[in-house]
Amino acid sequence: MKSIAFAVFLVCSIAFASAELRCEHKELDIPKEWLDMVDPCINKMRAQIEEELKAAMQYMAMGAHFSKDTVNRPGFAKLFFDAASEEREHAIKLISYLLMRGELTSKVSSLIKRNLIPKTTSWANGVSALKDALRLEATVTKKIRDVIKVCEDNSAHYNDYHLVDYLTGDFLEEQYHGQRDLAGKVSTLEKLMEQHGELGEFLFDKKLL
Amino acid sequence: MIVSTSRINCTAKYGAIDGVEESLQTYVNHHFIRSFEYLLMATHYANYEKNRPGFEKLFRGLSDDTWKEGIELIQYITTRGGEMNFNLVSSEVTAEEVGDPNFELYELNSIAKALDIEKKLAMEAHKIHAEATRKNSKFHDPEISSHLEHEFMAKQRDIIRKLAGYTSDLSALLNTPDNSLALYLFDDYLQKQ
Ligand SMILES: [Fe+2]
Repeated sequence: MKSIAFAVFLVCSIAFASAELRCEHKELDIPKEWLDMVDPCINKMRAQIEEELKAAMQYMAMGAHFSKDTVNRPGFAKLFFDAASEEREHAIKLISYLLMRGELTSKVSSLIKRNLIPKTTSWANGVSALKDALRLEATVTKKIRDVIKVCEDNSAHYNDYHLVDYLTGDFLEEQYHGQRDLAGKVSTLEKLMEQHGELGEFLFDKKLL
Repeated sequence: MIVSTSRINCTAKYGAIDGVEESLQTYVNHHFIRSFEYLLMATHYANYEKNRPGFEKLFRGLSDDTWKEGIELIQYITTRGGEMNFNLVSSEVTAEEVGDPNFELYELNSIAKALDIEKKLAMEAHKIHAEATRKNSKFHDPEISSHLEHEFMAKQRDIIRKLAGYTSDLSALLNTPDNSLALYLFDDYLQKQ
């Protein structure tokens, strides 16, 4: 048995060695002229990827809170779990963009911090969570604007037209529509609660399903 | 008449959820940690130098799966009257952070890494299952053990087998004279899975 295990180990280590040999020996000669992103902009984009994932985990905590049996708001839970996965998709879209521009060929391992623990994990009611969500989106919007600012004008004096257009037309577009939607929900729910309190939240929750 | 609900237990808690709640919460956090790690591995394979869409697809799929399972596990904990705690991570998983872990790996190493991660997740499910099958009322909870069996263990068995098969194939293929072509063909195969 031991000798079999050793043989397997040997085969594995040979395979590993040959895989590494191949990779280390083959120097790629790909023109670099097309790589035109500048560091200040790249670093802002890298940081934004983690911001999106932080937002995802914050929404995850909201989803978890409203799933509790003592809170029992399945509509809110669904809204927030879906928002969590959407934020993760945003992070992946930013990654895909950098890859398309020839970036992320190194320092990939440090791109995302290990666990992004959400700051707030319980809410007094649905309205307060929706308000927190709206505030969260507003800070994300501000951060995307910061990325745009740096990618448009920076110490390297390089205006990254295409990325600025993508962030403006795609990301900001979604931010503003999402914020309007959340603000509308806060408004409707607050008005419902004014007259009907708990009943208002109960009814609103079922609307979200 | 005012009905007082304070004296009767109106929560969804029954059985031994309290006994395994922390283990389940930890398990959720491990899923999200793995999901991000798989995402980094997928990213590495998607850059123009590596350019292996098959490997990217494999790791992206694993990232998507662990993310989804994390959410479903939170929903399960709350179904059983529990709640989520995002702070709990096992000391073993925390220890991995020492010395800046590397997710930019060569092809065979990356699949071996995924196999290792999946085995760790499977063994953790076994551990929680063992807690829930102890024959004392504080821990015995057949609903939890059955949930783990049906929602996790069968899937984990299949992923582990698949990844182990990939390492066998890839080890054999890399021992052929043209490694580059072997990796290209294997990547192409992964892409079609
Ligand atoms: Fe976002």
